[in-house]
Amino acid sequence: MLQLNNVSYRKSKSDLVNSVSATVHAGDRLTIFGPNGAGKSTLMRLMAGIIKSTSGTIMYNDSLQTKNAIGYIPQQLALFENLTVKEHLRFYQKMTGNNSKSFMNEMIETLQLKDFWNKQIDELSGGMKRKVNLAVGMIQQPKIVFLDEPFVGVDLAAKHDMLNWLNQLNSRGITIVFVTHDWQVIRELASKMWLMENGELLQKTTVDEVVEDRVELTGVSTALDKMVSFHRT
Amino acid sequence: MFIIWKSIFKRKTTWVLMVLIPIVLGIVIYPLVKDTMSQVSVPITVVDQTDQAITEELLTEIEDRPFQVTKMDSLDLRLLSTGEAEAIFVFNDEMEANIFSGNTDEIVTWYRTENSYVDGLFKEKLASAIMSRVVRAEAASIVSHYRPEADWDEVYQYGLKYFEPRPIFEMKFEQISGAQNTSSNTNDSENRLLFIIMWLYLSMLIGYFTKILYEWRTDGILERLKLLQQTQYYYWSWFIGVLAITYSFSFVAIQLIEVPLNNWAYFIPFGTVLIYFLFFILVKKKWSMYAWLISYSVASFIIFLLADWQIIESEWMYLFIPTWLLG
Ligand SMILES: Nc1ncnc2c1ncn2[C@@H]1O[C@H](COP(=O)(O)OP(=O)(O)OP(=O)(O)O)[C@@H](O)[C@H]1O
Ligand SMILES: [Mg+2]
Repeated sequence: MLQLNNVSYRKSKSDLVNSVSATVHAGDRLTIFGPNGAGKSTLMRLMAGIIKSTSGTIMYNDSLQTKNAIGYIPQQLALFENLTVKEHLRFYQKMTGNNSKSFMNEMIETLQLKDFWNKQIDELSGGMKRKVNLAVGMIQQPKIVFLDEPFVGVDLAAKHDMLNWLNQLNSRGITIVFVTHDWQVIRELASKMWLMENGELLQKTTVDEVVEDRVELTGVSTALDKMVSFHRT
Repeated sequence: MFIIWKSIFKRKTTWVLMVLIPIVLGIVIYPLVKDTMSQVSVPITVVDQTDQAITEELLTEIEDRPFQVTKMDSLDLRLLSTGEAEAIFVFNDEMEANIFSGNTDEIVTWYRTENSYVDGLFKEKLASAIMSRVVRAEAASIVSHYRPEADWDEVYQYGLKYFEPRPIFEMKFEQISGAQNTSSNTNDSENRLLFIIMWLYLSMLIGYFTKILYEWRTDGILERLKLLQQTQYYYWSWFIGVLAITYSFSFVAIQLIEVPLNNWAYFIPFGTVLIYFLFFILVKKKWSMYAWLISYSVASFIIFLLADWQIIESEWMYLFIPTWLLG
């Protein structure tokens, strides 16, 4: 679906992403895991095509070259502070031209957006904003979606609903790539796992292997080592 | 287009900048403008109840400047106390007939207050215009008395040809042209000062809209639109909207300020918006943009004044957009 060949992203004389080669397959449930500043967000933005790599290539297969095929939920809340939830969804719906009513309704239902439909973004709680952020990024019904820490501050019940929905979408063929520090989310949503540190992709593994301690971690920082072993507690 | 501007106009700051500041500027600037205006125009009211033909004739003869003459058909003395009229001249109902018959008793009544200063000039001009007619009428009467074949009207029309030299009691008024020019020059340069203040305001307003673009960029909204391949839409909405606002403000301000415009002047708002937009594209950090543009605006202000006083006169000054007004 998507293939990275020696992809690097260099800025102010340091490699934020350093020579990454890897493949994302159709239908993958992939998580990118690593400490703060590892370059996870940068790699996601590269794959989503928001920024251009300074060297190396990214190949997309045909299905990703159509309009709206790629979805991206940024780590920041990319929302207009003083527009309402309704205005956001209408605006982006018009912009993407996705008129699938059933998808919209399903999304609004799952994220319980009706509860604060006519509220302005700056009147919402952190978790509510996250939900809107997710909805806006998913509105185009993408074939692959990159989610950058989508569940920060979302309460357990809502998180549960959202995970269910994403799993459903995945079973209908949508590829999911996400970043999180939350092991519960990783267990429920991911099967593949990339371990990243200092801009380098250290290891391509699976959640199962990590959970069963079958991965060999050598030459990694104590931070990443701690993070990987944290799943046991 | 609509939604972007909806979000901008939902901000209170937008309203403060677009409504409150112009009002405050208007309170400071308008009296300045008004001051210079009152120097050059003296409001005079003329009352003629019977609307005689000679009234129009007399008023055309007395040049408009610096008087601003209003014709009315009834006397309203309140105009004097409100300052709407510096003086009121009431023409006798029979003025035309009286002049033609050479009777000059009380054909005009002159009302003024102790605050009226410059109305005397109007009185003198009026008296002179009336006297020349009285004299011509008398001459015509004498001529037609001794030469019955001559037509009175014709003689009156050509009165001055028949009756030279001019009567000694006609006062002659000449405007000293040098003085007039100086006052209109100070007026213009004052207006140009108002213009550059307005430009500074516009520059600040555009800076504010540019700041919003920066916010959208750091918030990731622009990235989101880039993914949907809609960034152009965004930039165009912003650009056209800001242009529309800038030109509307300029248009209103120009009406008030009455600064003489050359062809380049029409590009000043466009140039200013463009410069901000280019800064947004080229300078990634909001604060660098501010530093640059505050320096640019202040430099433009100074260069404009220096150029206006003709202290500098070189091509490079046109790098500073407001100087296009002087080009
Ligand atoms: N615009 C930028 N200019 C320069 N350096 C940047 C920029 N954005 C990020 N960085 C640097 O790039 C590195 C990787 O950043 P990135 O956001 O990809 O990390 P991350 O793995 O997503 O971290 P986190 O878990 O905290 O989100 C960091 O060291 C960061 O300081
Ligand atoms: Mg990140």
